[in-house]
Amino acid sequence: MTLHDDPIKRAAETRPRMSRRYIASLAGFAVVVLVVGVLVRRWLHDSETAAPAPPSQAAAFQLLSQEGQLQRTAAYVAQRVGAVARFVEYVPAVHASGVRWAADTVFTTDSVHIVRALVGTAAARAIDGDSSAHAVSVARDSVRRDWLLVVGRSPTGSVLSATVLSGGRAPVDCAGRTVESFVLGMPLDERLAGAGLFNVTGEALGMAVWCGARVLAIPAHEVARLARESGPAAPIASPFGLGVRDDSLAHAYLGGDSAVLVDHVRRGSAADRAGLRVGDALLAIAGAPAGSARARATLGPSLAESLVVTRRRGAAVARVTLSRSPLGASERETGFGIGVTQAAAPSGIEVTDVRRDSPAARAGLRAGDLLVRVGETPVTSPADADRLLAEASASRRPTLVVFERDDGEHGVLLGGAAAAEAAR
Amino acid sequence: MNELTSLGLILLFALLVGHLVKVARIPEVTGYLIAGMLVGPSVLGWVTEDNLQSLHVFSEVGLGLILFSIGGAFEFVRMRRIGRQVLALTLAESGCTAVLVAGGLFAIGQPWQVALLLGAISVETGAASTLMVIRENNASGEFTESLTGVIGLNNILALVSFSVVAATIDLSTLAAGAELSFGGVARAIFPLVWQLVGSTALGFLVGLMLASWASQVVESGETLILLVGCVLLTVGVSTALGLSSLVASLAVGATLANLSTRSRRLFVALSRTDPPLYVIFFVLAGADLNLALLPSLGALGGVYVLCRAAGKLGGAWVAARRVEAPRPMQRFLGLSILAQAGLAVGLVLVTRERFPEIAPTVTTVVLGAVVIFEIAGPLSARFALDRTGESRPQDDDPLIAEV
Repeated sequence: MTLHDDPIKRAAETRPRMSRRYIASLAGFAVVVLVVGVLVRRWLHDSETAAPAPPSQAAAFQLLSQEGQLQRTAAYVAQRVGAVARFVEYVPAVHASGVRWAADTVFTTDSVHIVRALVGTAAARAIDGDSSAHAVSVARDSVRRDWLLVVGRSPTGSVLSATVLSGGRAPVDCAGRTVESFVLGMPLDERLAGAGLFNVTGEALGMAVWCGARVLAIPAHEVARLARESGPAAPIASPFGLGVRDDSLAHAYLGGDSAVLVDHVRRGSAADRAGLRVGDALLAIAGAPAGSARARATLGPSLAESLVVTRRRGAAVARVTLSRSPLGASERETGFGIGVTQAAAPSGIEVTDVRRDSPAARAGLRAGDLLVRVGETPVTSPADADRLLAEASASRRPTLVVFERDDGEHGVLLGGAAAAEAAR
Repeated sequence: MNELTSLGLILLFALLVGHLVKVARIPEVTGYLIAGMLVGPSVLGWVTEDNLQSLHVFSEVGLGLILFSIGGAFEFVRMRRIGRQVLALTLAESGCTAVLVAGGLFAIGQPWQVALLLGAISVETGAASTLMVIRENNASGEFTESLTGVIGLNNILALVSFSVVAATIDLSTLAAGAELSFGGVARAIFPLVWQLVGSTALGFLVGLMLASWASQVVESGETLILLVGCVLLTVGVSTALGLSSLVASLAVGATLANLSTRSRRLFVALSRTDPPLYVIFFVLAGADLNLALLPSLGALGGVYVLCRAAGKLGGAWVAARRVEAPRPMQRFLGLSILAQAGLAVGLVLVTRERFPEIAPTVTTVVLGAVVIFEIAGPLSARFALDRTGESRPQDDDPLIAEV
């Protein structure tokens, strides 16, 4: 082959030259372009303040730990949120650091409360202008290009986190409502729903919220609005002596279909005997996902003798069977929604539980009260109490129930058509 | 294993595989890439990730030299002849590819940022592997000439469209945050302007130096030193100043081709000495191909690969018909521009730096698709060149013929 056949070599053949002056002016222009470019580049680099260097996840957590912000967050939440506090702990080991919601799957529900609490303070602080009251700061809503740390827990219990760059906020559709959301370059992983959002200095910014088909990063004040609009958590009481917190916000926005949190356990009840404790997470109830409507229906009033639930406490998952009032059970419910102990006590018959929204609860009876008389008849044994209360609740006339409390004897009128009429 | 052992293994193993694939009538480039894949972390692991990191400089220089060669094709006289056609072809195939890929990805629910970035990246045709196929087959003629031009232009176009998309994303982020300051806007747009204008200026200056110095250098060894020195300088300064080493190298080649009467000698000297470097380049590129990514491509990767292939083939075909290019061009241009590597991988690195939140998706898709296109591209390019009748592999080795 000849030289001529190679495209590149042929391209390199002798070419007529341009005039020297033309080339020189081109070269001069090129030098100017480069010099100006280098100067502009340096100026831009120097003036760059909006976007801080991206911290690696590990570095960011280290920063958080050093600043003690996480610790303060946990401590603050502990002080502020009371019941929820036991689900929050600080884990110093770097690879497991972050805010850990100890009752595993419940992180979704609880983080709502955490954020509610945080939001509450932010609002309070804004009103009274006291910034020193709480060590944990809720960040002023950021509209800047900044790094967000997302820390949450997966349903399997592992700590999930992500570092994402946010570029301000914009209104977005969230399950039919328009909310302001942090603008992120990428959608957040589904499993991060319910996770907290922090800035690199550990200030709380808001939370990751499930919006129908995707997870959005919502600022704290917007979460507060969603929480207000979705109403308070509705308690469910079960004849098995078990109360769960059914947070409609969690279900609507956090995809919390998989677990519910045990809110209260009636002493001596089936749930108590099965070893359930407040704070346990229920993953499944009678074979259905705990958050589902079917599971909630199973928990409600029913004639079933037993109920199988899947419970998680910490990392341990167990299936437990709740069996209702077998022979020799220490508790059962009688008329008016009053549960009494089956053990005779010298001082009276103790009320172990009062069903929520029952006539007795409305009348002010509480667990721990001692039943003294039903009508004219003194109560001397649990069997008495059962019989008398059953009769009274079937009667058309109201019955005076006398009970003893620390501050003395009290009497309430319960039942009867007149009372029912009045209640209506 | 240390770097030198890696390097030695790379060269010898590549030679071996090169021999083997010749028997199988597969382009040597493909052979090198496969050799790289075998010795790389994906399969045998003789060349480790660390080795790849430290040998990375070879890849940069290799790519610089290849684009320098392509730049040689951009000379005024020739551009006056075929420039219009090359420009039309490039715009059509690139536009078609970008629109199909971006549209397809958007249609399956990707965020517009991801769709547009991938659309821009999909435009790029692997310059190195395609050029190597041309060389290996001693291809020359009208088709080859246009092909070289199309590849050079389409790399520039990919860079420009990527920069435009990147600037758009930056601006939209700023706008969403209601932070449209002068500095922010400048920061978003500056890389676009700087990478084009600045890189061209740098390339022109180095090319000018090369052209004027070349007339003083007679000995071919010295010529080579001058050449490699200039390319190294270009790549190095580009990296330091945040310029595109690709555009700069291209500009050096183009400047030299247009200014120097002796440029031919320089390009010949280069093509005589660079094979070991190219072998290293392709083996490293092969070792970088991450086979493990293929299964994770998923629907997203499938859409990317299909749309890109459809855009390249369809766009080239339609454009070639519209500009009434010769029949071989209509039928085979698309096939010969399928390869993808080099700049695409470079743009992924830029994405990681500028948009860390989008980067995982973009990285997986592009690096996974590169595995497919880098294997299929040279094969189809070879097929296309054979069918156009412009390849003459039976001829003597051009280098020997040259001497």
